[in-house]
Amino acid sequence: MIRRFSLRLLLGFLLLVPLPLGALAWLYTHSFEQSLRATALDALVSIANKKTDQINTYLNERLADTELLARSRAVRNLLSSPLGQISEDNQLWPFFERAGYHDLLVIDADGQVFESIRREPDLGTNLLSGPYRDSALARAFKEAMALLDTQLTNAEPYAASHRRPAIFIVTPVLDAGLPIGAVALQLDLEELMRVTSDGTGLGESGETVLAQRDGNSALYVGPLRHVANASFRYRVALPEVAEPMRAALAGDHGQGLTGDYAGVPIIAVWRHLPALRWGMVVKMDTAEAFAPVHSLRERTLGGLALLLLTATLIALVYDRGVLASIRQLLDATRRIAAGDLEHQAELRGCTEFRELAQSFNRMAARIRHEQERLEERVAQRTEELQRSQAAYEDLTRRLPVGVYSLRGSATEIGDFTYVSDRFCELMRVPREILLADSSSAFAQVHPDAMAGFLALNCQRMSDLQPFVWEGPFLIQGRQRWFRIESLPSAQTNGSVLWNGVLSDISARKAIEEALIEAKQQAEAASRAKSDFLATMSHEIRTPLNAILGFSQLAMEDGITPRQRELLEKSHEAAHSLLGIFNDILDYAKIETGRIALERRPFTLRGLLDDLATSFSGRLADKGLDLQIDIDPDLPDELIGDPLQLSQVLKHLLGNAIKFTERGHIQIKAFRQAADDAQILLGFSVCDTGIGFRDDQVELLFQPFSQADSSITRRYGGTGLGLTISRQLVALMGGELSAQGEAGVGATFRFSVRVEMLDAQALDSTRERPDGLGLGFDGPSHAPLASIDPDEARELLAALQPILRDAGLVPDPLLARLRALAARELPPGELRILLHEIERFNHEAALKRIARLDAVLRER
Amino acid sequence: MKHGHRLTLGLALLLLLGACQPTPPPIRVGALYSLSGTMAVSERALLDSLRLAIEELNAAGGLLGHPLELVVADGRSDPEIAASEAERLIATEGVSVLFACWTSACRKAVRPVVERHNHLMIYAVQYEGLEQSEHILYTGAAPNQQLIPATRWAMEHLGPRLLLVGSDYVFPRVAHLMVRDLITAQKGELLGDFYLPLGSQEVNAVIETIRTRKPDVVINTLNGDSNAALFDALTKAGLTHQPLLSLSVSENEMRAWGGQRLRRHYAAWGYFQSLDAPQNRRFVAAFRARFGAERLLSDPMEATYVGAHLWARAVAEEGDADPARLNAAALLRQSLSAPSGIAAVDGASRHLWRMVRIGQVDTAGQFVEVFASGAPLRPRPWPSYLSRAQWIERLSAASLGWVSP
Repeated sequence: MIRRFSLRLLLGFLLLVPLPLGALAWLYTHSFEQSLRATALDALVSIANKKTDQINTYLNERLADTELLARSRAVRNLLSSPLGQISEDNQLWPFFERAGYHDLLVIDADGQVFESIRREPDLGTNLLSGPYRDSALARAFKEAMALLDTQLTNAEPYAASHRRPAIFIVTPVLDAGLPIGAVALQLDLEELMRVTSDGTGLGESGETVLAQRDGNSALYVGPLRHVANASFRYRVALPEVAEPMRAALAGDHGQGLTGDYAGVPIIAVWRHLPALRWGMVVKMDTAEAFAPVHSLRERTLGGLALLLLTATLIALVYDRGVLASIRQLLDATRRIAAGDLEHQAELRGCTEFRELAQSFNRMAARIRHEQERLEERVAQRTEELQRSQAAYEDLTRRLPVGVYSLRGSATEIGDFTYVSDRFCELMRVPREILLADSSSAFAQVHPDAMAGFLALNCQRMSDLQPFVWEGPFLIQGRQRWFRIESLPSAQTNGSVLWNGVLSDISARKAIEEALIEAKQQAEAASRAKSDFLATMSHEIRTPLNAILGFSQLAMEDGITPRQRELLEKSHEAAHSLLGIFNDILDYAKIETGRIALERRPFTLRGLLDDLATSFSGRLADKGLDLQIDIDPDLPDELIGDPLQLSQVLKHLLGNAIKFTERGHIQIKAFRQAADDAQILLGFSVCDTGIGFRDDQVELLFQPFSQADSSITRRYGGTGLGLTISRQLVALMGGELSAQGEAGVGATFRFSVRVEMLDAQALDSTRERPDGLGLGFDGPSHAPLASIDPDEARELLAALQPILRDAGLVPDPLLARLRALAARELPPGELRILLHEIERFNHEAALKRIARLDAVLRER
Repeated sequence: MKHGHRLTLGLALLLLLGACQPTPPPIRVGALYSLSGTMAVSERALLDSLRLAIEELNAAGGLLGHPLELVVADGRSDPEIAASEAERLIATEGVSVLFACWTSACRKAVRPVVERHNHLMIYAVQYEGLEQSEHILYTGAAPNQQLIPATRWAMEHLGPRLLLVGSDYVFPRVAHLMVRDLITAQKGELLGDFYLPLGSQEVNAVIETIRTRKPDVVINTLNGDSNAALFDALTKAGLTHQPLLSLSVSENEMRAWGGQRLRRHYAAWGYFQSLDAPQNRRFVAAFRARFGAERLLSDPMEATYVGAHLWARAVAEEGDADPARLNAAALLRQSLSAPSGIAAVDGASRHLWRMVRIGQVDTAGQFVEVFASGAPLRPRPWPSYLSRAQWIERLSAASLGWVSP
């Protein structure tokens, strides 16, 4: 840390001075270099331009000289006189001397060199056929004569001048439009070289390089600083020629930083000299041109290094002086941080540091004091905490349930953060394993219950509702039933803490299962009893019918009044026994769920008329008046189960007659509620009999009970009628209720749900209305029949001998009954008949058979 | 994070400053060519060539940080209009240089305007010479760079018996004067010297003379569609093998007028489209990429293109596009490697050193080079065998005295 601080300090010092200075210096030298480069290039450009101009001016002057000479009278005279010769006092001499040419030649039209100032070997030779016919001079002569134009040759070694490089200017001499010869001036190359070797302004390394293109190579035509004796000897293939010279020879014109023929970095200006087909490069070594920059840079770098060193030294001194105190204080803090509160910081350095050290020591003392107090308190709290912890542990250990805490999320069950001893015991998994992996507990859920468990888990993790689950676990191969209950509490970090208990409910489960089994057994027993009753009733009813029949027959014989009285009593007793059995049978049927409602058309009026007819005898016996009141709004035809409806009405009317000694009985039918298809049909049966008390109402509907046990003794009866009625009403979608006042009378109200017979239903349910309260259901209504045709025929067959033996039914009626059966009596109708006959309501049965017969005959 | 923000802010400020700097005003380049009238076909091609050069320069960043803007004016093939348009371009439009004219008449009309404004004009068509304005850079051939060497080549390679046919105006008249000088000097034979009015189709007399005199070569300085009449008549007369040297028919005209039907048809120029040099391949490719693969290039087009680049280099070197300053020195020292070869300005004559090439027309109308000068030729607008005074004297004697020095 101290080291880092020292480093930062050093960096700070560097940032403060040397770095900005360095950047400034760089900027400065850079811009200096830029401007120096521009200046140096400008200087070179003006030198190159000056040299170009000098060369061009020199050549142009020579051209002008030659052309002037060619037009001079002297030359023309010389060429037109056949034996012309240049005399010593020739006019050409002064001209020649002034210009400093190497030579001056006069050539005639045939190519004969007949005059030469220098008198070199070319004098007297013929340029078209002589030894010099391939020389540049000869070629230029031919061109000049053909084009009538001055020619300037390339610089080439000229044999006649000891193979010294020569440049000729050749101009034709015309006389009256005809070329009569030519003058040729051989230039002194020294003159040209003087221009180029002038190193003014080029410094130590500067030079002017000249080269001419010679086929595919460049021939250097002037001296070179780096190549000895280069003039007209140093030849380089074009691709290898230094960049600026290659550009100049290709016709380019430019300047820049590049490399020269020796590969030295240079600053150069290159020019093309079209007259000589030469390239010229004026150049200077970069090292020299930019020397001021380099030296400036070196000095700047030196200064910077010095500054750097100074800054570093100052930083070090500062570090030693100031930082030592800081370091010592830091050391003290470190020792205190490490726990050595007895340590005292040394008082040294400047005043501020001493004061700092003093405050520091005071602070340490204070901390020491505080720490001692803190330790006491911590010890106290720790003890309390331990006690609390022990109590908690004890509690959870004693609890019969396992306690746990689980930290989960919206997607994961998560891990246990706490499990009590009891939990571990129940799970039979050590605590460490449970804490490490919560699945070690939940994996023990019975495989059959696992899917349900996981599904509930998922749901609760997302909706955060309390988790309650009971299910089997497989703990070490044994099935145990556990109940898990836990409550979620969402944590601030997004997780959910589930605190829960696990209880072993295996014992309770065993009891529940036993109870369920017992209940099922009891229900089976009850069903068996009802079955027994239903079966037995039939078995009992047959002999009872026989008793009734025979006692009736006996009474018709000639007997004593005493015998008659006895027979009448036994007949009555048998009749009442049959009633009791019928009730028991009905009750048993309802109990065992064997009653199935039919659904067929009937007329309410017909039903109530039949009821009145069947009770007319008993009503007359007691002198009671029966009023039937049907709401005129009710449709006459309805669909429902007329048999069960009349059964209920019979029970209620029978009761009313039974318990009424004088007065009247009123039956009302009305509409309670209705919608498009259904009507809730209401009935009330009101009497002026003995009535009952309010507290007796519920007893009325208990099976085998009546309002008062005394009633049983006085009036008889099984006490099943109302129970059966209430259940039948419930079956038909209604309710049966009773209201009464002791000694005044009773009113029973009930409702049944019936359907309206609308036109459409009519068409589809039957062929035509019979108006008789009988439905001839087609095959489509077969399900309404609760007795199948085979069974019906069987019953009829069983009934016939009994009736015949008893002589109760006249033979013609039996025959008609048989004929009806042969024409396949609808099974519903058969049931009604059987019912009527069984109950000895023979009159009604006979009426019905007659009506049926009539209908069937019409078919 | 904070440092990043500051850095971004700084950069944004810098960019903003950069964006706020106004774009430098363009350097305006005047193009005065006949875009309508009889010269339109030829001069439009020069404008395209100039446009290519300007676009190249702009693509390379313009000049001295300024973009170049081409200001085009229509000379309408009328020297008077050309002069007034030149006046407008210089005085009103403020152009820095004027690329102008095809015909000598146009040049002569514009020259006084340019000189009056101490301005700079670049003229890129081969012409009769005998002129040197201190305010014109001539990038086309002077007589000694086309006419004279071509005639000399014809006499040497095709024969010394010559028949001359040209349009009746200054260039052919002066040209024939020089050709006749050469015939005299070379002891050749002149079989006829015909001048047809510009646009004339009456070539029967010429054809008849060719048929009867059978010249070794016909030197053709016809301009315009009289050429078509001549080529047609030669073809019809069955003279398809008559050697013919045309001096004013470039690739464009050759194809247009059907000059390729003649089997021994030659042309002399400093530049042919068919030249096989890297610089030319680049030039042809660039031009066709810009203006269409079917387009042809010619000597005056190349000279225009080269003129533009020479001018641009001079501006870059001088650091100023002021025509007066360029005229003084910078422009006169330029040289570059051009599609036609080395193009160097001859400061003394204000003309270019130029190659001369003779090409034989192939069946496609392109030139197959049969001769080329060994090196670019020094421009001599005043052929050197006479002094300027003698030339002026001769011209006035031949009623061609309108030539001014």
